[in-house]
Amino acid sequence: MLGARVYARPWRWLTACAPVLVVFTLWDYLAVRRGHWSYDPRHLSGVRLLGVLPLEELLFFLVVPTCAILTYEAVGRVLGRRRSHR
Amino acid sequence: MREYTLAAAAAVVAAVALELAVLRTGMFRARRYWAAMAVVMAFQLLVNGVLTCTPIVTYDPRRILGPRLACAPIEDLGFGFAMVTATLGLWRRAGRRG
Repeated sequence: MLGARVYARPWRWLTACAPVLVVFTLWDYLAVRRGHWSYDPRHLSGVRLLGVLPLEELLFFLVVPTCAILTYEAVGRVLGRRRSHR
Repeated sequence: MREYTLAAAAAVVAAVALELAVLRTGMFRARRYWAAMAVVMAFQLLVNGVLTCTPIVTYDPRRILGPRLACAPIEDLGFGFAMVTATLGLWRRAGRRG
């Protein structure tokens, strides 16, 4: 709708998202093991990676950075459009 | 020990350092970065509310400072800020030619 064109640049998307996914997955893994937070198993699919990390959490770490980039590109479009109207 | 507090603070410092020392994209001077951050943070509070008021995610009170926003510990804002800052910094860097 806003023409963010993020999916048209898959390599750039991967370059930005992959390191974040790895680092935050590691953080989450350690945090769950250390008991910083826990998940209610009734609300989860039950699929856990390495026996600790819920699949949902991994997807979260993929979806959030992707949405951040989409937001950033969309905001850039809107700000640029407003500027060109001036 | 308030380990989540420490981890969140370290993540914020690391994300800012990544941009200022390594990626150097001038992101913190860009209006669209702060505008995007405001949008993402607003939605983060909404989603945090769903996840922690329900509660689907429960935090150990011994690991956090105490103050909460939309049921979630304020440390979550640091977590979110670090994640979005690192992502957008890498995105900007990867979009730069040469």
